[in-house]
Amino acid sequence: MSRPVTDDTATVPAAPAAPTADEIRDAVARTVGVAAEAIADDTNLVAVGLKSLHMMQLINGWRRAGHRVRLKDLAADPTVRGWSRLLS
Amino acid sequence: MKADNVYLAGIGTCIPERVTIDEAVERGWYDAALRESSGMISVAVAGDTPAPDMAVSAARDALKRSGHDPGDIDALIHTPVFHQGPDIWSAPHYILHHTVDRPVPALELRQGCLGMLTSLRFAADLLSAEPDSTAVLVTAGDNFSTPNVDRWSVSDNYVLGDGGSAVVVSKRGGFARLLSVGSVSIPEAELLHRGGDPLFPPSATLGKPLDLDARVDHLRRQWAQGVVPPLFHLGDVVNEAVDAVLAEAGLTMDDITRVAHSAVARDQVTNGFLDPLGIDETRGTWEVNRRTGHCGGTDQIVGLDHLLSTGRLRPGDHVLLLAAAVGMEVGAAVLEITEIP
Repeated sequence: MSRPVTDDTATVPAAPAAPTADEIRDAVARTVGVAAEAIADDTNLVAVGLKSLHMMQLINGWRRAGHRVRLKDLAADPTVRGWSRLLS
Repeated sequence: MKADNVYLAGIGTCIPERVTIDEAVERGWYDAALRESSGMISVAVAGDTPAPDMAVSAARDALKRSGHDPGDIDALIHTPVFHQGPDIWSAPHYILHHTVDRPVPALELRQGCLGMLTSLRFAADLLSAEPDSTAVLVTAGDNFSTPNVDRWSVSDNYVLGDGGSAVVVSKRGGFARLLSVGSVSIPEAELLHRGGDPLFPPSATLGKPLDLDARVDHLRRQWAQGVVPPLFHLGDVVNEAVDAVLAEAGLTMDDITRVAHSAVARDQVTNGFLDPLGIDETRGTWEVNRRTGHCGGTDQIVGLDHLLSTGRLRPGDHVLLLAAAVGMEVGAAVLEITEIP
């Protein structure tokens, strides 16, 4: 298991491809345990059951893939649309 | 804080009878759906054994194993999480009376489940600052088998366990050298364990049930309406605290044989501790955590004692103690094992 890249010390060799909105939707659905169809681009993810722990798990995966993202930024706009922007 | 010439000379634990998860499910205490996913096997339950008595039992073992005479103990720090006995009364002096029984200071240090690590720090500070001092006795003990607490459902993040623990911190030598210890706090995150509860009157004085999830639910309802709580990635704070103590010890994670961490739920351990540190479960203490539940500040000492007594450690190995607490605050300490007690 490699240590996920953290915010301040990230040295990403090549910019990884940003996850698509559908990839983010699927990851959220899998982690929270809801159907992807229940999540529209502007659905408030907290309303479908998103918790802080889910965000930690999602961020660990995204950081392993080389994406730099902070939990507090994701928390401020908890929608697939918002997260697509932050992860792009 | 880089420590110099400070050792753990003795270690003791007092973990009461376990209630198996199967029994808890059969009796309707624990959600059957969580039996598999939680990975929990059993939880330590003290019944009507007072918390300070478990601290006394652990302290007597630690003192015996330390080889120190009662006269070597210059102070006692007791670090519980929960109510100890009669209000205002001093549990630390009760523990002092029933262990070394000496006219030295006894005090309580409250820092949630990080209390044991910070007590090690202050014990080390005291020993370094006072030339004539020799050793400090540090104890912890909690019993959550009280009215108004449901240990099985109080939080999504753990099942509460009972138990006591103790270490003798010494300048004379010991089985482990304390290399460094420190913590990182997030002041604004105090709200996360307060939720919508009023500060006055204190909830315990009203005999209200303890429901930590209800406080979280309050914040999540606000969050869904656009009021963003002061959330953070636990792993980021863990890395900040661990990086600091490793740097002070002149080590990296590769040098750490095992991590004795808080006995919180497996998904918290994985996503908040192990994944961010880039290690897997075999380098942690889940194997014992899943058999005790989350015993406050006692977790790290139980984990360390387990690693020592089951042959997982050898002289020269380095152990990281890691705790996350209400605050929020995350602390860590680096030990070098010098002998197996």
